Amino acid sequence: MWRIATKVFFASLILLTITYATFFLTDLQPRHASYSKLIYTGRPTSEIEAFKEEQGLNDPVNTKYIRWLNAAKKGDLGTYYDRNKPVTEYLPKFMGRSFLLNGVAFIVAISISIPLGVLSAIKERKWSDYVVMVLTMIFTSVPSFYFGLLTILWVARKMPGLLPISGMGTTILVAKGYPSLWVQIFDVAHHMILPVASIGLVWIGTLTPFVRSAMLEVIHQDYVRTAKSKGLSNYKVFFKHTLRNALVPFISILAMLIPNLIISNIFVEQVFSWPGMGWLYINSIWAGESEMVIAITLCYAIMVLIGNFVADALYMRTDARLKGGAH
Amino acid sequence: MFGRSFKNPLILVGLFLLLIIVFSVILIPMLSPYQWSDVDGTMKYQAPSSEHWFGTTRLGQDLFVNIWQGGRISLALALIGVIPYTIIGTLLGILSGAGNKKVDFVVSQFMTFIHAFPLLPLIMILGIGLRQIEMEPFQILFLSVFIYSVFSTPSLFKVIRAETMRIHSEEYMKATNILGLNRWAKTRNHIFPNLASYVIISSLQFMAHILIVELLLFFIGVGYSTSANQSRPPSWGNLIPNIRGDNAFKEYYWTWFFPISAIALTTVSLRLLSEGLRVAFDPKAERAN
Repeated sequence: MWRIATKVFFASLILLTITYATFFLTDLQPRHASYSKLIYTGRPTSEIEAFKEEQGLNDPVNTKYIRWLNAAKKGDLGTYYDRNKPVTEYLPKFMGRSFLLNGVAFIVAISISIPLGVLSAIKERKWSDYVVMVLTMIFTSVPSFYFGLLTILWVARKMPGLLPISGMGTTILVAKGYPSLWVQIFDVAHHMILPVASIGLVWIGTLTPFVRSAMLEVIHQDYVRTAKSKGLSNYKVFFKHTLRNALVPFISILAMLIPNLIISNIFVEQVFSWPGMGWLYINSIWAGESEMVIAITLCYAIMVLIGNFVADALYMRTDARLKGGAH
Repeated sequence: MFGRSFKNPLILVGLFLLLIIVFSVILIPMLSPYQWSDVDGTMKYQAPSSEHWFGTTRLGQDLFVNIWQGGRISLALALIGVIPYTIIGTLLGILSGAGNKKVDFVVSQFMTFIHAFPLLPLIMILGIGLRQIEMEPFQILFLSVFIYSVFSTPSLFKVIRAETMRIHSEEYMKATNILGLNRWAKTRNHIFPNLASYVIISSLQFMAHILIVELLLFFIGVGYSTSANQSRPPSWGNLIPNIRGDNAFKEYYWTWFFPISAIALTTVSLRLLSEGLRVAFDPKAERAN
């Protein structure tokens, strides 16, 4: 109980600090999206100044932050001025798209990296192990959008029109409305191929070494040897004794990695114009949509917190020493 | 230990690549017939040819020279950026792992606190926020990297703390108690040498990380631009067109392909080196051999 209380206390402290830091930094920007329409329509400066004064944009940062905080307590995170909609109404759609992209990439990456890591561990120090190691190293050493750009270049030059390179739907179909759900699913999936491949490669590169080292830890354990000498089939030893035990630490690493991996895909979304959270984030930063920026930063922070929390909890479950009392 | 390291193919290849990059970065800008700052209005966006090996940039500068010139700043940035990460991470890790429960609690909570920051988003806002302050663009870049470096310390801290705790529970550390060594002597003679491999490996990996972060900052257009002032030397991130710019990404592939490849080559060689060292330092890996 005491543990949970400290956790909650620290989590709220962290969220307060992060929102304040974001608020402070976005406030340094000279332009705010709430009056950019006035600027574009060529209104006189006096009118803009009057608007600023009326909206309280000239107040000191702390006053504005407290005002934001009071509104946020009631669930009002401000307005997205580009569409004139509340942030809380506009953001979830984008969040869903981000999670869709990352979720599919994640499933693809997992289903490739586990066999790859296992193979690499079984063939330890053989050439196939080295090939996998070098490949994963290359995948993680380059920025995530590099492969995205390369594939865009390749597709655009060699086979234009085969795979869509931007957006998440064919423009005409989106504008007219999809004739049926299946067409929509197919269209979105078609648009997802390249971004998923580009994210998936990086994830495979990140996850495979963890699977490999977790496997190696287990493979040389005594109980695996015992199981083998008991005369169990290789199949049974592998699935019941080796793989299952190897995947336990892997899962807690996953919990910690997923938020960070999603955050680092801001750039992939940008390259493929995937209308997700990261795309919205960068555009909002440039447009001076501070409320949206803060809301998305808050989302990321919560994701990281949840990831850390889950990782801690899983770690404590698997490592008996941390339960206390055993030592 | 080091004699064995040179038999490891990962270390050899990594070191070889890294040396090539470092020598090119030092020598090519001095030896090339082109200067990085030579602007030629008639040669904008030329595709790679025998005259300009990597093509030319938006301003008609030779990209080949610019890449190696850019490496000077990028590598310097990586070298400087890794210092706070290493020092803070190592010192706090040793302090926290030394056994004082109260100190450990405070430091660990502080690190968890830092660890929860969504770093990339914040550094992006920071880059844009800092633009409004009167400051040299270089200072902004170094400041961003410095802050990034400080806030990344938890990853090193965790490793160092766990290792320090492990070392403290070893038999030979109990022997030092009997010998009556003071804390400083214990840390200097026993803990520090044992941690050295972890520190070196993490620093190498973090250097690769900084190179990529610099690229990302420029990619979204947070860095400074050279187009305004040609007297500013380029860096790797600075050479690529940013996403807010024109259609250079699809039209003129060499403007991003070669700079990012230069970064990728450096990061891969750093990773190879660190991975090789990890294998070389790891006593378990030796036994399996």
